[in-house]
Amino acid sequence: MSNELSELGKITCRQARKRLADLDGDSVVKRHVESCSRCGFEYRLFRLQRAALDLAATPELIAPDEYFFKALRARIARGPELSPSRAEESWAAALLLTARQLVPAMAVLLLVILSATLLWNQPRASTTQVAIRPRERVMFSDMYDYPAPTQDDVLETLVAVEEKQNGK
Amino acid sequence: MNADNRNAHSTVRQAVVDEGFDHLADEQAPAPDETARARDEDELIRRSLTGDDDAFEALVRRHSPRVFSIVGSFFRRRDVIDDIGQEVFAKAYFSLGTFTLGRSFEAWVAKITVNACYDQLRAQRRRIEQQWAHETQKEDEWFELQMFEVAHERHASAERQRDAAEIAERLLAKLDPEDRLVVVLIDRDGFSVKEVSEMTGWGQSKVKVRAFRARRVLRAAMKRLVLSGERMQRSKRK
Repeated sequence: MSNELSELGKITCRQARKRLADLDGDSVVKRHVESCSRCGFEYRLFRLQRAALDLAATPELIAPDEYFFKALRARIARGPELSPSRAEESWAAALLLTARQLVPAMAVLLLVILSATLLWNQPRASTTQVAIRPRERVMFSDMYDYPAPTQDDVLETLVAVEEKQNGK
Repeated sequence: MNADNRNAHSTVRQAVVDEGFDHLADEQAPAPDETARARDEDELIRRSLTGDDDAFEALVRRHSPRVFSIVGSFFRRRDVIDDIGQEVFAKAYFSLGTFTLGRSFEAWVAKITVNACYDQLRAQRRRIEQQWAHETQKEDEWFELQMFEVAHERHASAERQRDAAEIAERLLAKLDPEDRLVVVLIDRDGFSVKEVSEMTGWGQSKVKVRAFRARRVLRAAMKRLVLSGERMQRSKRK
């Protein structure tokens, strides 16, 4: 490790990367970056980032001209108004933003509606079963599990009762 | 890196720090000329509050170079910079009643400027998202490659520089406006986290997080750019 450090200008990669911004005035970092390929690549990325920041800015310092002062006076004379950046935002942009913000809320709402619809469409329990009180269900559980007696069943039962009474 | 640009902006930064954020530095007694200047400025503000437009114009003339410099860090187009400059001073004029006399007018205007830039970046981002939504990844890579080449040419033509600026704008448009604001102020203009925190009104942790995120996004974009450039060179050789 120490050999490696001495070869790379007695500085670790971590230290070198922290000091990339000072490369021009720091010969140790410069030596390290020249000898370490990874740090060299990092420096390249760093330079490009700075280039992008510089390129997106105005190339030279702009000074206000007389037209600026005239326009400013006119603007002040108009009185306070909505800032142009906000006024420029079109209705379409505002709607798009609102729609994007509402997407999660809409998704949750849709889920609730779907769940409610599914629950609603499930077959309902028969009225008789629903109407039965729990105590009755325990006492006459078998009675309610069979289908309702037909007219023949009733007649058969009546005949059986009559025969029993007649002593048969 | 553009050395002239950097020097110009470090001067701006120094000026803003010296005059605008002097309360952040060690407690030092102000120099006599600074005290006189502050008193003079307070007098101009008092006169502006009574409706003296000439006094306000004097304030504008004094502070407009710095306002323009801050705005110029974010935008290239002259008309955009002018518009934001007007917005800043109009806002300053109408809110002058809320300014506390004796405090730094420079810092107050810088804060308004940074907020105006932030608003503009947000509006611009929305427009760009709509405008570029249909462009393909391929086009994106082509643009980035062009920028890669231009960024390495010191004496690129004005047209190529314009193209490169457009591509840089597209790359930076990938950042959140908050991230972009922070990374430009810290990495380009050389403000400290504390100073950016003062200007934006955000906490220092938020500023640090935003800067970290912005650098990460930019680094990833640049890595992609470099690798695609290398791929292109290899395929040309074959």
